[in-house]
Amino acid sequence: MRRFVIRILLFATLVACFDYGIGVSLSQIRKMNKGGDVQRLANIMNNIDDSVIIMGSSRAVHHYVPNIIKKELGVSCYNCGFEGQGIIMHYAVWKELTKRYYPKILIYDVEAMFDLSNEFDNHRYLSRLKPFYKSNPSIDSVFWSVDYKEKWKMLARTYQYNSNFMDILAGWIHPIHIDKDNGYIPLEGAFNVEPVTISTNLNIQIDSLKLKYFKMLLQEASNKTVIIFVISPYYDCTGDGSKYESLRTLCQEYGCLFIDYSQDKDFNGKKGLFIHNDHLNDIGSKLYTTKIVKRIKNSINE
Amino acid sequence: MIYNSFNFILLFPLLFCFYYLIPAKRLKWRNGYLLLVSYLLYANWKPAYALILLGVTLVTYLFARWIDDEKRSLKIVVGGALLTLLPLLIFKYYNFINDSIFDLLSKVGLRFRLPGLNWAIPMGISFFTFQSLGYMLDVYHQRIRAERDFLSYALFVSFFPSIVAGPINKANLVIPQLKALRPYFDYGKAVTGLKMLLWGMFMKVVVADRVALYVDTVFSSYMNYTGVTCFVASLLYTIQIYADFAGYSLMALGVGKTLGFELTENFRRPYFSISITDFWHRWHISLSTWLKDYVYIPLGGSRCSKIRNYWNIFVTFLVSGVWHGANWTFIVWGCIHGVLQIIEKIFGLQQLKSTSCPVRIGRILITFLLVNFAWIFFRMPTLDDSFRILGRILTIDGGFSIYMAGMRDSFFMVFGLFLLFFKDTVDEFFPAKKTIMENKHTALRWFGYLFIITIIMLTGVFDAGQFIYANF
Repeated sequence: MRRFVIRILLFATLVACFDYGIGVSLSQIRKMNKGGDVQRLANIMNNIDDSVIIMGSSRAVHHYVPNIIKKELGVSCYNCGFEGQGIIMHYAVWKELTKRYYPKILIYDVEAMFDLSNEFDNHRYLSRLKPFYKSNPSIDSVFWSVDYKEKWKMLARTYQYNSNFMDILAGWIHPIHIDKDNGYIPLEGAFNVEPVTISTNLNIQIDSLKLKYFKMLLQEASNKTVIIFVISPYYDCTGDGSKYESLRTLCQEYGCLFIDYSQDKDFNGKKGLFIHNDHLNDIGSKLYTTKIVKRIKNSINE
Repeated sequence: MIYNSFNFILLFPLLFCFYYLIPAKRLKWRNGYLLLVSYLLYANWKPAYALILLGVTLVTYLFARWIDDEKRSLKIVVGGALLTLLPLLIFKYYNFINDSIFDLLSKVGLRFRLPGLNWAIPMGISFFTFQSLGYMLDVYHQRIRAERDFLSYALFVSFFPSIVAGPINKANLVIPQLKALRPYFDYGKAVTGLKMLLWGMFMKVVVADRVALYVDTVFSSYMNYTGVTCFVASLLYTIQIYADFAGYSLMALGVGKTLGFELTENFRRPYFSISITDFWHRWHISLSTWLKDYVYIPLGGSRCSKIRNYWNIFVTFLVSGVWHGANWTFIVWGCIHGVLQIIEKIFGLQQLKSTSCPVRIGRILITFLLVNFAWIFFRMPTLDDSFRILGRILTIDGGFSIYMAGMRDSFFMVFGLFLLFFKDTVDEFFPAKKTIMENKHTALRWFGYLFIITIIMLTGVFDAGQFIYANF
């Protein structure tokens, strides 16, 4: 038994040293990244200073064209959307970003699955943030709010780079600049899937943590930044919008705009404008951005 | 106990240390401690359901003693079996039976349905019910005497490494280990146990959960993907279910070993099988042994006419399908395996021996594809979905394009699959050769462990995945 305990302790020490070494190496490589998803997030949190920013899931990334917004509003714009992400991740990004400045306008594209529903495990929204734990301390509390055990898990420096280390290595060896359109990633092609009708009726359980983060965002920023929540178009959508009622109520409380284009007839059923049931293609995105920015312009003028 | 959880990583060293603080000669204290831990861990999930576990334990303990005293009374064993199976029938099959009868009666215009149950299924109920039922039947068949020591028996049923998802242990394997004076600490077993834990964790979080991301994406909206993509997803599901279940079983065996116990081997590289019969000697070995001993042989086994033998095989696999889940898809899956085995028996295929490498590889591939085809029914929620996916695969619907996961996910998948395939190939075809984790040089072994730990930390999927078989 004594031999076993000694060997276990020795091995644990070796693991800790190895873990530290890998963690430090990957941290340095991350700082040298010139492209890729991890670099893009670092750029958003540490560098951008655009007057208009867009946040949300893949529907944000693929639906809002910063160049059109810049042309119409006369101010710079950056698309901070990330695929499969929601308010938990974006709130952390917002906290970091607003340590430096407050954008004039935040357009938040709401997707119920990621922003309101409790269907998915919230750990998924921490995966992109892991490489920035400790180096961007204001996001740490977001980790602990999802799972207090993250405090202990994140002591393992290798775990900080779980699933991200390939992006970090690729961003160093062969950087791909995926945000050359100021964060916008166009989807090219025609509608190529079975049509599915999306419902906006309340058919989800609301996640209280996500709602809490929306409230915190509004509390902190609604008197510094014009915050606009938008539901961008779907290919086919029906329902009474009750899915978003809790967020709509918050918007009313804080005097923010909530715009629902989910059932907009200019887009619904038009295969030429969509590539999937829930993603506009580049043509559709440009048309949609033009429409939404006009609406925003009118609202600001009012 | 979910082995890929952070709670387990924190808790297990503590459990291990407290166990070995108890002197080896205090056997009852050690067993009492393990029993307490087993029940606390079970109750941690849902306290009330620990009563179900206790109830099944008490029923089988008392009935086994009664059977032992009354010398093989059939009425007592049937009564005991029914009482033992009752919680399983209610929790797992009530809604299915209710819905199926309703669907049947609806076809003749009658609309009658009993109130449904909205109760969660007690974790591991299929496993501990079969384990304790097997014990009672062994007593009835006089293979073992009834256990008089309730502490030992209760620990056998509730033993925490294997209660959630097996293996289904035999009483004559585990109870003697519980009652025998064990050495204070077995260094070799503990190290082997930790290696099994490590490799099982790799199989689960690096291979199974990573592959699951692709499989779930495709199968959740298969109509949006080509038939070729659906086929690729089915192949990956075949790997996923193996890595998930075998990985868990390996971890369960590993935990048992670190505590000094040998549990039932459950998997032996099943996708290198050369026939469906061979597959069931390698896949979920504890269940197929249970079905052979308590269903197939009592029905007559192969000591009867050929037709009767084929019927016995069919019924055994029908029971297997029913055991796996309360859905027609599992029943069809079980029947497919039964029918394939019958076909093998009719043509004598399972007895064909060939040392020719191409023939062997051919047989492995064919068996793999047949098993893969059956897994589609196991995976999909309804028969309709299963047939639609098969239709898309067989008609190569949508062309030859394959949905590709992102570069990162694809790399992680391929890398994990390669390591798993490499190790299984070495273990199967070159058993004399040692992998790096069995190397005689400590430095190389430790490098191997470090490498696997690093791979787990960097590429493992930790976002609260659950074992597939923990839902049984």
